[in-house]
Amino acid sequence: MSAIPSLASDELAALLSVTRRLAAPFKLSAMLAEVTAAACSVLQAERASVWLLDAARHELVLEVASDIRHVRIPQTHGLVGACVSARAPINVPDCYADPRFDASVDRRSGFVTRCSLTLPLVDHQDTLVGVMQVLNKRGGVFEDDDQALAEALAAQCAVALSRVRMTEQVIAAEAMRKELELAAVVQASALPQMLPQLPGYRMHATFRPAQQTGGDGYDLALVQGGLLVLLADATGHGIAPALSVTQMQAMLRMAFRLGAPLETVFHEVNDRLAETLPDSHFVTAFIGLLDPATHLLRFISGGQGPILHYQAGADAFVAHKATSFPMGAMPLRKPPKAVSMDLAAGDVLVLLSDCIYEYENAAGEVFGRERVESVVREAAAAPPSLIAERLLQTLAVFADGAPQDDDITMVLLQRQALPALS
Amino acid sequence: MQMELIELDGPVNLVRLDGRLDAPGADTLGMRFTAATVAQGRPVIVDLSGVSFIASMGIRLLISCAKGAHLKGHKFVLFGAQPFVQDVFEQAGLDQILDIAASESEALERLSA
Amino acid sequence: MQLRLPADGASIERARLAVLEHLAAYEPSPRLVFAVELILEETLTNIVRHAYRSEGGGEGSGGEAGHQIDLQVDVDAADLVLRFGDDGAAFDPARAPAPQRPATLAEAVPGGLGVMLVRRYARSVAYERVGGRNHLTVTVARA
Repeated sequence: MSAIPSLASDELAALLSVTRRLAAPFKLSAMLAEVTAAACSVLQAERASVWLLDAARHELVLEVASDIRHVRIPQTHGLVGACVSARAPINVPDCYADPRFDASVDRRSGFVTRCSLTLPLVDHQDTLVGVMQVLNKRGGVFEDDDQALAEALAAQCAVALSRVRMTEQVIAAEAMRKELELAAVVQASALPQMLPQLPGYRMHATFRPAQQTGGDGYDLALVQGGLLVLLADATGHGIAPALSVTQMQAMLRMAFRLGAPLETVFHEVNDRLAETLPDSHFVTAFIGLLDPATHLLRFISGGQGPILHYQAGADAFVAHKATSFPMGAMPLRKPPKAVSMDLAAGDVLVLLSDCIYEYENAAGEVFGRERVESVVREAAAAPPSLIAERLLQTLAVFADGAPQDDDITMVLLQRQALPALS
Repeated sequence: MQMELIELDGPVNLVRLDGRLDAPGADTLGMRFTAATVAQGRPVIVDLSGVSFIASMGIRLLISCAKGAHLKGHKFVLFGAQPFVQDVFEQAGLDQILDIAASESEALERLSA
Repeated sequence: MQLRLPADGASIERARLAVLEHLAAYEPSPRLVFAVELILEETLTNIVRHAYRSEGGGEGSGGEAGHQIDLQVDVDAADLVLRFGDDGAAFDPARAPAPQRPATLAEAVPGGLGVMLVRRYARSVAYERVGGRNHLTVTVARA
């Protein structure tokens, strides 16, 4: 790098000022704007541009230039390309006379390039991260002094560029971590603090959030129509699905508190979710309403299944499938149809979040229906909390130490066996 | 997976699909189908009589476009599904959320409904 | 019938053709054929897409990493049984912890709809993990 000859004090001030500002911003666009502005002022150039090297695609990308938007060229193109290959400054007093010069960018912008000074941006690790180019020195061509100043500026730019990119990655990772923490808090806050007391029934809910928050939710609440039973699962991980399930829970509680019928509630909540959920995001949800007087549980299930009804009398299971498409995809065209389930004494309703296909993660958190059924059948007379524990234990055997990739949510509702007559 | 776009009086877009709407099929179709059914902002009827197979990726594409059309305010009607394809629609509960007609004439009628 | 395939996109079509050919001898009903095709499509797509994602090779790159899927088809009077075996997503505690997957926050999970469809068309779906391999058994009624 050439030694910087005696700088005029204002040139130095300008350069130092730029250095300070380059050390501060962490947003790429802001940084590049600073650099190009500085280059123009310090070097008295009409225009400056910074091209970033996209090594994967072998292209140079023009990020900032006042009237041209995002331009991509092969990394061997033009003077900037020649600079990448040479990894050395290129000073051209008459661009149109130079065979390497690519006039297409000029044509696109309407600017006419006279002379140019192109410098490689090489960071501390000796990686070429881009190219800086200044055009049209006012009142002349770029001299050696200019080149020296430009090199100093380019060095600053390269380092700042590397730092910004690293920072952006860190910020993204940090943002994601925070988002997941927040999602976990949202999930926890939305869940019922205490399970309702309903004579003749015992219930239990287990919620084991995954390390990376999933979008599960459940609810058991006494409402106007009886007992609300909900198991929901939003697609995806993070804050958005957690919020959508929370919204759904709030809407359901509100609607049922007002005494709205099951079909209406499902319809309305589905349509509200459809308004706000982004494309391809749904919420699978089992929404049931138990009338404790008749022991009839009516339910609508948007994509949630299988719904296992253990019948104590027959010592067998009835497995119900989902009745409807998952919620939130589109407004319903017709009112949904509810299915009824008669809970006899000793019967158990088993709702489990769906993990059967989770090949993303090893083993573990997946259920085979037959295994679930055998555990429940064996423990059916025990309190649901114990049944849940047995299920989790069976799971742990399969887990084999592998981490859980999705929420495990279980909702169990048991109608107590009638006491034996003495 | 082939797609044919025919402009009917209205203007209404008639999109004919031919082939398997499996994952690669849905992929191939992707942008073109979205452009024809959503981007143009015209009411659209989709002829599924040439679709011999459909799986979740294909369903996703249909829902996505139906939603897009819904948000843009124009109708999106499917018709002519072969029996097994219609069966998948019903198994998945899609008939509750998508406009599925039995024939082209019925589909056109749905547009003016 | 037994097949071993690389865990990549091309295998799905190969498996489909091989299974259909094998099935032809049993004169399957058109409905059974459709059900089998659907189950193969959803299951194999899911395995290929997800099972190897955490290895950082991007989706569907299992083939490059040398992962194989085993597929076994057995037919009897009442049922058709499809058994899938793969060594996907083996958790290696020695490897780096929480995989950086910023893309998945915004990503819709493709698995859900497909799983639902398989359950609808199959009589039973059973999963087991034995000796580091995932085993999925899907039984389809022949009638």
